[in-house]
Amino acid sequence: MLLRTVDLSVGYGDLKIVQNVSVEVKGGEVVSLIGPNGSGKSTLIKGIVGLAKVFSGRVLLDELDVTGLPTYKLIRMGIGYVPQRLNIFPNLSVKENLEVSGSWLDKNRMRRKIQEVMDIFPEIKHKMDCKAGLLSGGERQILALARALVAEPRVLLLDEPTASLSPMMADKIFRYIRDIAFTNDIAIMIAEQNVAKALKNSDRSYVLVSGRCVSVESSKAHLSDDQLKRIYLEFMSIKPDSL
Amino acid sequence: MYTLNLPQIFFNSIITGSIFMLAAIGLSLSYSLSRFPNFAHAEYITLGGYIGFLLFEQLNMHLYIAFTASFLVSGLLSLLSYTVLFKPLQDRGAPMVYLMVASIGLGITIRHIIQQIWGGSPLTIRAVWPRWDIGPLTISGLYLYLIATVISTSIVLHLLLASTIIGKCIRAVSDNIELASSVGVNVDNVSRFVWFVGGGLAGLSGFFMVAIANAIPLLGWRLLIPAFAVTVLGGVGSFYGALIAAYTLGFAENISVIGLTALGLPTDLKMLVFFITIVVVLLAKPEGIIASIRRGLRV
Repeated sequence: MLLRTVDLSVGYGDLKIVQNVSVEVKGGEVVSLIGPNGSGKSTLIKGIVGLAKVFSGRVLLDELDVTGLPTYKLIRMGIGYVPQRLNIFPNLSVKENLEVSGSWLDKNRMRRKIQEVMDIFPEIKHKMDCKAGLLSGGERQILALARALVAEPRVLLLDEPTASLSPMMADKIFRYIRDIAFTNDIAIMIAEQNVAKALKNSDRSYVLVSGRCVSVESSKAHLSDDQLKRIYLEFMSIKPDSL
Repeated sequence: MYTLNLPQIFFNSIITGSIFMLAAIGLSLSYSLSRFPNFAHAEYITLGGYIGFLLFEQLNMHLYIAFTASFLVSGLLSLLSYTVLFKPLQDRGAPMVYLMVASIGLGITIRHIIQQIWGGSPLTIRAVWPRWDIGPLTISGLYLYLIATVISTSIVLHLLLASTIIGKCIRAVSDNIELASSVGVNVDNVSRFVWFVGGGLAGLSGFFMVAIANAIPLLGWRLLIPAFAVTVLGGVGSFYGALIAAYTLGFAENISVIGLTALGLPTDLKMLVFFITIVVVLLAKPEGIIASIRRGLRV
């Protein structure tokens, strides 16, 4: 496994939000974390990248214990992270956003990476000198993805990558995510509110409820799992058909 | 009859604005990165002034050596205070008010140490600077040094922030510290760099203040209120905003002195300009008027 957590408990201050959760993802695989609001999906991801307090458990990257390392070191070791909101630098240009993400790479390598990433995301290619704060919601999300790729990640953690996007744009983002995982053999873990889309676009999924993992299955199995629908119905007011 | 020498007022305003700019840039940048107003910044200004006085006046060293030493010593003091005091406090989750109080305590301590070493009486650099009379304008060589310093500092800072990776990382950290860390920026190293350069520039403003007027332990404290006004008016963390705000307030101060003199009021009341600026901006546009205008113009 490229990235795995072992009995990880994460929270903020003295508050433990995620309790004893073990997840794993391998290269080329897309794994989704689903669960109702407040189930701890984002907190788990933040714990992995060192942005939330780890109470106990371990984070292993290629079987190397990286628990508690500073965020910037984890990023440089190959864990890419795209937060849910405020995931671009609005006062920097698109190009500067990409450059900052590869700030520790040598110049030529960074230029090459930016070129590669631009070829993947043509939508922002012609907006390189535009201030990132002026981009549309979808373009911002694409920039955030592009920015994470400049850092040459082996694992990519995406927190609600389609939040507040139109259904069309959300589909587009998921297509990109699958392509990135498949083409670059990157392990991708997504925390996602849009359960149907997350399950359709991932290989495996973890269901979190109240900070605990209650189910791990292939996403296909979860899609047709009546128990999962029941779990969801208990916590969210959604129609069974929408799953 | 009170006659106004407008060219001289204009020139003096540029000098005042230049001092404000050097004093405020570090305060503004460190504020935007570390998210608290550092009152000890006043003492980086004061120490820079006294170091300049020690080397240039007491030890008769060359002006450039005194100038460089002022930058380095104040920069190192700033770096040290960030590394030893403020960063550990932040790592322990200290809120802004704790950091602010710690900075006031640190400032008082440094000021008293300075007073123990050099005493509380005003100390003056006795060097005679070359002067030129150009029409109604009297220009001192010292002022030209100051203007040259500010122009070169502005160019270097502009190039640094706009064209280098460290500069872009500074802007990124200033924009969103958590995101910067999430994209692999070593926020701590960036902050150290900014604290060093900001403290160094504050030291230079102290050096010029001592050369223009004299050295007193409250030197930095007197420049701190204008520096805060520049920071607030220009927008916290905005280098270009601070640059414009420094000269705007430089002009405002000189014009207020003329007004107060004409009204027969004490010129010390000129400090009101800065207090009023801070209060009005915080009430009307807390993000800074100049920063807002620049955002509106998309520049």
